[in-house]
Amino acid sequence: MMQMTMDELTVGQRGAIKAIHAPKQLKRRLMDMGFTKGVDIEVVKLAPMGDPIEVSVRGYHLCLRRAEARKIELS
Amino acid sequence: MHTIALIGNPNSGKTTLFNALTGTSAYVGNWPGVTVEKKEGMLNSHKILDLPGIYSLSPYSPEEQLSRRYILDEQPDLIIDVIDATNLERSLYLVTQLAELGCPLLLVLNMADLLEKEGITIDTKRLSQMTGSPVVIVSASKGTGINALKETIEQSLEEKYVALCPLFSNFVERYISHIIEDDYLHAIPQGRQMRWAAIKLIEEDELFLSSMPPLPDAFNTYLTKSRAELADHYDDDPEAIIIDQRYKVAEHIAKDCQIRKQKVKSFNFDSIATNRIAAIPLFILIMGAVFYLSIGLVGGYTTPILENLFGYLGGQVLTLSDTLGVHPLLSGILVDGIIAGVGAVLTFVPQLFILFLLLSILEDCGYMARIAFIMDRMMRTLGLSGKSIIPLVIGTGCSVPAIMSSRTIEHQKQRELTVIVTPFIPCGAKMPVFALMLTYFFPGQWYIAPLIYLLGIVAVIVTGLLAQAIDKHKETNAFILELPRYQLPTVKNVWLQTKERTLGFIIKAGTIILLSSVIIYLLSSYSFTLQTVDAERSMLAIMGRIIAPLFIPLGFGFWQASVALLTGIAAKETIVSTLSVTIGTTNLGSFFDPASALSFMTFILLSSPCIAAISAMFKELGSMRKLLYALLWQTGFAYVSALLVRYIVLLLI
Amino acid sequence: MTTILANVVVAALIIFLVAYAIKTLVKQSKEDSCSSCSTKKGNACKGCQYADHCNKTIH
Repeated sequence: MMQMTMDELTVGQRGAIKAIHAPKQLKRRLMDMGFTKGVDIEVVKLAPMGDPIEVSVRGYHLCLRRAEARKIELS
Repeated sequence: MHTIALIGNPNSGKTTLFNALTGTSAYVGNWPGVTVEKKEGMLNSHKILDLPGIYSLSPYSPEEQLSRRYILDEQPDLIIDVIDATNLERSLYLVTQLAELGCPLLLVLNMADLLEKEGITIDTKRLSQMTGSPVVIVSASKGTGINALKETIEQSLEEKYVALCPLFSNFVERYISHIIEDDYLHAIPQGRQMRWAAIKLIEEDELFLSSMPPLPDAFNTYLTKSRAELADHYDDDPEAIIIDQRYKVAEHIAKDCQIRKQKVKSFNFDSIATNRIAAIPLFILIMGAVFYLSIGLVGGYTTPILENLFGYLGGQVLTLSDTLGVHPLLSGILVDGIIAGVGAVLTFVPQLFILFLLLSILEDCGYMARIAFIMDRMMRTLGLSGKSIIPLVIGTGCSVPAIMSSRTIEHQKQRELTVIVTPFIPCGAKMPVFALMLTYFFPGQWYIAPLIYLLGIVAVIVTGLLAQAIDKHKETNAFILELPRYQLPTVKNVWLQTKERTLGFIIKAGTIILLSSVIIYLLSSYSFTLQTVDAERSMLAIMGRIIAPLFIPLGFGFWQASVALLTGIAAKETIVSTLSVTIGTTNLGSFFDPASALSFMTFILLSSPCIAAISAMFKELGSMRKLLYALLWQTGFAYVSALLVRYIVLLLI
Repeated sequence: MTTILANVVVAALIIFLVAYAIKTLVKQSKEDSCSSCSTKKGNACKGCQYADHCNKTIH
């Protein structure tokens, strides 16, 4: 079965990070910002055209594009 | 003398603290990445450095690399890690990296004033025990705790506390202790800790490895084996494992030292500011209001008053010097050169003051990052990033800081494209030129001024689309941006920035504008044989006529316009002062017609910016060739657009 | 007499304004470049190798 990725969450939904499938640089960036295994995230808002998305992680807010969110696998 | 470095996550308030410690007024704002260059100041005879913010010591964009290089190569005597106290966990992640450098560390919990509001309490004593570093709690913007911090700084410099390195899981620690035992680690830079080097070897940090002698074969095999075993155990790559371990330590410390009460959800400005439907109209409305208030309301009121004032002053001085028998050359320089030229520019101080004030409020409150968020999708179709909108908004004040702020864009192509299009947005200095032409040729036709801004935006869009079309290697790239908390702009910050920018404008009037007015007056009064002649046969006219034919198709092929454009390279306001010295602001109608006035404005709007912005462009583009292409594109685009505007207007009228 | 005096005063005013403008510009360009840094050994402005121009002179 295909795993759920972060871009599939709708506003207000939560999830825990399972793995990041991204090139080295991007993966490190995402992890540096706090997206590590097991961390809870919540999709807070979508930008006017549904992209990028605003996510709450480790008590702060950041935004990222759907393309990046798709690389983050949730459990 | 000791060196102290201020480091910390972006937007944690390093520059505000820097200003509070050194009594300076460096540029601050509320979005991640305001500081793109390091700044130096003095504190009790210690050198103190403000560095661009970083989330970790493995950075991405150029300004972040600056911080890493500084921290690693320069070995400051003390590192002050500025922590946004409301964002402890993520800040502690950076602490776990800094602690390993073997340099005394001091933790500053900033934004103390917000803790209570956010329902957070932090046990600073416990935090100090767990990190092995002194902890001071301050509010840099309110100025509380600064004295205690200064004392702790002195104390730290003397005692040189050694920070506690974060301890990872036993499984990881076993490999670290094995690696440390190898002889190879004696080759690490002086002052560095073995542990730090061992971790870098596990991570396979390229920058670190390139600074070290080549790995002996046996040791390399051992490392490769260790990495494979780690990867196998954790089902991840070694670099990710270390990041994960660090965050575990950060979580652990944060949990032990911090109590977070569940926040009561109150009304949030974001529910409108980034609302899916209202966000973009609101952004347009806000920018419209900024210009209406500054240019329309204040400018409309003050400009005529100041114009009359300087006109009256010039007239009085002239009559006085005539009755006293002052030589016409001297009175000419003073009245037709200095008073006319500088006065024409100073007329715009009040409206620029309001513009700068409103822009710094926008920058201070946290809205900028939201604009990047809501506009990213649109900017992406132009080959730009959401972050490119920040330079474009700042560019309405001045292109120089705007071009510099493009440095936070990680992706090189997007950054360079942003640098090239930023000058298309009319800056505060171009405003006087438009205001002069518009009030003369189109009095009461309010809709033309917004059209000029629109034209600038169209130029950005066309350039972006064209760059997209010719770009063969389309790469997808990341857009990850922290959205800071909204805050009430502090009076101090807003005032400092507004004052700085307005003063900059006034100083330009007193220096560049004054000098060029005098030179233009002299050149337009003398022939090459140094005889007093009328302007038509002056040196200036002869020089201007060399390039004037170029502008005949655009409708302003007379030498006064050419000279004005040339002097505009020094500073765009100079165009106004030059026109008022050579033509006179009341005489524009005998040279321009409405169509050529509009094409003149179009050319000024889009052609290459002033010398200060050109050198900022050069700095960000990093190559003369790219700069030349950029300037050529801007000026060529300006020429064609001006031509089009002129003929469209001629057709319509 | 008044004529000469008036001429001298106006000329002096212009010279003062121009000299002051040049002085300010020179000072500004120095502050913007690294020429404000000492090049003596061990005393050089470290900023230059990190920043494109040092901001040493922020007051």
